[in-house]
Amino acid sequence: MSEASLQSMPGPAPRRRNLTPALYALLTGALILATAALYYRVPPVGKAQPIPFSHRLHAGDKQIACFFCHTGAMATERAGVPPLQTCMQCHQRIIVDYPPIQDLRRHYLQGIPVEWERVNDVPDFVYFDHQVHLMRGVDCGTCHGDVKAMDRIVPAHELNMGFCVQCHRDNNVSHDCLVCHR
Amino acid sequence: MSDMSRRSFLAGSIGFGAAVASGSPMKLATKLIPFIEPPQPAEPGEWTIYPTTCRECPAGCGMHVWHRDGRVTKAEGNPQHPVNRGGLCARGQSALQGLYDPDRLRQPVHRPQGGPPTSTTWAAALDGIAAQLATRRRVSLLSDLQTGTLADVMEQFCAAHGARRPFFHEPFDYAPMCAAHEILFGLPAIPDYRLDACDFVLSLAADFLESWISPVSLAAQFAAMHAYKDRDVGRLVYVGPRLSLTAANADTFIRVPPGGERQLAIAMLRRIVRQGWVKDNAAEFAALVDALEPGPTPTLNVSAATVDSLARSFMQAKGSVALAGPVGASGAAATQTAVAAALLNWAAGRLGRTVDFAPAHALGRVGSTAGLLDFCSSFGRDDILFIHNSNPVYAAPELTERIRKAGTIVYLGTMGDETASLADWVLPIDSPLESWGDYEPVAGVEGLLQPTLRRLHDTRHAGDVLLQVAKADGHPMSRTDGSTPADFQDWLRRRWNEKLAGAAPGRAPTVTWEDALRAGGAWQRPTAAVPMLRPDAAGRLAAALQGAQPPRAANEVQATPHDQKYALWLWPSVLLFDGRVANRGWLQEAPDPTSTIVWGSWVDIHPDTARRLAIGDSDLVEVSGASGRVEAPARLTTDVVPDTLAIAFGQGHTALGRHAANRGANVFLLRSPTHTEIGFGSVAIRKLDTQHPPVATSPTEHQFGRGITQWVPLSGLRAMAPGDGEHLILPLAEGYDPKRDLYAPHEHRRHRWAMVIDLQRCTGCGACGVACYAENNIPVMGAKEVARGREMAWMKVVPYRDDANPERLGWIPMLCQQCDAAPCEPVCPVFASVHNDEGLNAQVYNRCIGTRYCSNNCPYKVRRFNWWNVTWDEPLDMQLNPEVTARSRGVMEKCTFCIQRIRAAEFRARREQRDVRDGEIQPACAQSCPTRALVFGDLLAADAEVTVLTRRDPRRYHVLEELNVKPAVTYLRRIVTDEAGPTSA
Repeated sequence: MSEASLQSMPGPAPRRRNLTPALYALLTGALILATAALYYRVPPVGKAQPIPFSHRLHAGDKQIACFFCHTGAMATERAGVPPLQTCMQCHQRIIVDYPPIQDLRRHYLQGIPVEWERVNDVPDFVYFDHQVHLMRGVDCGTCHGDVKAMDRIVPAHELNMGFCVQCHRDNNVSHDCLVCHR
Repeated sequence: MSDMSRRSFLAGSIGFGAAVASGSPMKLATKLIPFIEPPQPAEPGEWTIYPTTCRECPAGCGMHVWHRDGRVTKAEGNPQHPVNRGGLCARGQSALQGLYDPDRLRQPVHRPQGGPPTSTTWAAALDGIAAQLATRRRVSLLSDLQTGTLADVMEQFCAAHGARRPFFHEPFDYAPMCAAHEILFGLPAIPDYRLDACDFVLSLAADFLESWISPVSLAAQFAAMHAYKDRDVGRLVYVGPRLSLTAANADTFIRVPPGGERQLAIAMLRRIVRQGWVKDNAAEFAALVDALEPGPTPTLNVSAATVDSLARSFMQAKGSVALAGPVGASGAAATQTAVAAALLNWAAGRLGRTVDFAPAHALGRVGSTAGLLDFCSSFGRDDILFIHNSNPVYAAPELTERIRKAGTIVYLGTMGDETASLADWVLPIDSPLESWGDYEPVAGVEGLLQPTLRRLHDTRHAGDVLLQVAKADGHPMSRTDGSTPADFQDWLRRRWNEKLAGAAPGRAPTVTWEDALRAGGAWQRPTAAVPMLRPDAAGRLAAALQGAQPPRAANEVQATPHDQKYALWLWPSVLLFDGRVANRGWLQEAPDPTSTIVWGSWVDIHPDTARRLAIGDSDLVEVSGASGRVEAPARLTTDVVPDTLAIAFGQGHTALGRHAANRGANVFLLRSPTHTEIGFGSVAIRKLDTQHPPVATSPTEHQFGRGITQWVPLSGLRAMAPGDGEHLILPLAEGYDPKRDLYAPHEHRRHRWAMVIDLQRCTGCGACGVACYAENNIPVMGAKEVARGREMAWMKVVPYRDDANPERLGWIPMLCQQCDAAPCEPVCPVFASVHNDEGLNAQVYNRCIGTRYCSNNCPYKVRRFNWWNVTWDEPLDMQLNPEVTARSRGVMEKCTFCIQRIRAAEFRARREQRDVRDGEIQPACAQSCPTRALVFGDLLAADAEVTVLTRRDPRRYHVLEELNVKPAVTYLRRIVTDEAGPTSA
């Protein structure tokens, strides 16, 4: 059988090329890229809090010291969240008509605590002591980032073991497991 | 399935997968909830310590309760309190489990005549009770022992309703002792015994290290007397039928059948009379001894020489005291024993010195068993009976029918016990840890109770309930000065304001309310009182004993072999006492000190007796006595004398809660309040056809020559100077020998933590073990798991017998030895078991993969594996220590020397820019120890107490030293008093 005859023979009908999978693949890829771009490029927004509280405003613009509210940090294991009384020291007079402050006042007067969303946390088998780190001159920002620039608090570091150990290594501090785990 | 297409299957599984992936299986605390206004002493995440008074038994020890973030997690002894001086027994520590008991009463319950119980409100309950009070004519109030404000309120409540005075009932009363002191001195009181001023103590079956009067206080005093100092130790002679914890701590244990302790004391008294050792009032004394036991000296299985030597030692010691037991005995024989002990103390001139009547014990206010019978004798339809915190249906079962006759029963308590199940109204009251109050265990020691946390349930204070009931039925109560306090707390404050002002009349009180709260109370020791012998004491004694039939030895009554009677010997254990605490997992799982049995009852039978009855070890037997019968497995042991059956109190509840109900035997059913026999009367025994091996944590007490617990004879010890003794391989760099050691020594950066345990001080009470459970979130596994060897105790106080003399029993607190060459470390494939900078064998839970190689390689067997994910029955989880990780299934765990306490002290020291002080760190075990047997410290500090003891004490040794693992726990040997003391020389 000659070459020509082979070519002239009716073959199977040429299949219409199905572009759908390629399209899906392309779309998925784009979606992944877009997510990655959003994640890595766009500054992340922290958790919404029940009362919109801005660290940028309080700690940044108004220059209120961290320890004014987080009184426990220098004396105890935990930094602590300020009692509503602390907020009211200023907000009895300052912008009392601002709706979120009215909300705050309502909480205060009715004795209903504000349930803030926790942002920074370590697992239950890790014991971190704020006071000891501050005594050694570790700045709050080392772990918490530039809080003064954040409206909503965003975790500056994933507070995992690698992060802790790296700092301990850099500063020639004990690597004893029992320093953090008990 | 035809509806399910591939597409919908995929969609479904993706959705399910996403739900599984995103839904967190763990309960995470994601909220931060601040205070509105911070309460003054509380700082979030910081500990606050509330001093209060323990009400788990009438001893009234001072407690420090650790509070954090609204919940309490640990009860410790108050170091300033004059009763317990920092120690706290297992029962006191379990007060937390009483507070958080999942079976606690949570709301008032009404049970109309014969009807089903219905939950109700406080308002309805108070109105209902007031209505009952209006119709019932007679009011009675039965309570556990109270003093101070609550006793005031009860007295006033009864007075306002024209009732009899409140009856204070405790299952273990000391009526025989009160009667004896009334006869001899006209003082129906329980004196303060000063063992620390003695060098010779004679215990007539008084288990003062376990449950007799004030065990923590007496254990601390005993340790002060019995510890090795000035090259000598004080002597304890125990006379009794069973090797109890106290008997095992005695230098001489004289085995006598039940009642023999009485006979021995009488024989000693006769000897003293014959020798003419008593110069003053000699004729009166002789007459008393004659009146005590008319007729010939009772037969005794103790030689005359022993009696003579005992009498001589007792009279000639610098300080000596005779203590009359046993706990819970009643009847003429018990009174005779108490009289004999009091006469011995009087004859040796101990009154006012080692026996002080001025600080009398509150237990003297407890009504007698006979009194209770009388109190309950005439209840009828017209009666309304208030029962507060007392469980007569369990502890005096023969009275159940009489109590049931009362028209209305109002029960005020924390637990739904047997008595509550009989009551028409069950009112849940606050736990002592939620209450204001005061309690005066010893005259001059006024302990304060304060709430340590907010109420958990809809409960009220018992005092407030009585005040409110009285108000509701139109009998408002007032204090004796006419004032009408608004509530119980107000009443308490008024009483204390008067008291504190009265302490310094005309001047501002030197002790303020705040001072008293901070200290846990106010105390002042009254000046010693020396009572005189009554001139007519002999006549009174003869009269008192004449009414009663002459006591017979229980096993004298013998008919046919089938219903042969055996002497019954009942004993309250150091853990379960009278059974009120039986629903607490810690106490059920803590091993009995001498038998290591947990979660149940057993009967001790001598092998000879058992052989006669064809009873084998672990055979279930039925013991029948005065008002009932009980079943329990037999334990064949020579710890008990032949023909005697010994069973512990405390188990056999039919109610109370999940752990207590239907477990073991209630031996109150065997105790007859009216028996005339010696001891606890007699019982019959019958073998049942099943076996029921009790669960014990130690399979054997024999050491097989391994020398785990070691003894040293006093004669040899006296010849040794400090520094003499064994050369120990220390867990320091100096302990490294290249010829012997495979691994290089460890470097310790700042500290090398170590412990020294003085076995001569350790009485085996097990308080340390329970303290460890509380501090380190150790789960209670239950009888089934413990039977498989899966208890989780990090610290066990193990009884071992001396290979040279199997009658000698000694305890060794066994915990992780924090070895320097630890066998657990090199075998861990994932470095979860590692040596830390301060010498501890760290167990890193998050690394552990559960191979259990470490446990297999541990020669001390102190590692515990988590076979299960444990859940704590709510609200018991509130007790968990937030400073310690709760472990999950599949990881190994063990003692950490309380690393959380070490860290806290180190951080505190760093904050104050100083070094950690010696003695500043106390692991939970060392803190709780009533006898201060455990010392913790830094082996790198040259002057630390542990260093001095580890390097210089002639009694020092390491367990399994030959393995060269270099343990950091050094033990000091127990002492065998092979020489007679200086007192009888």
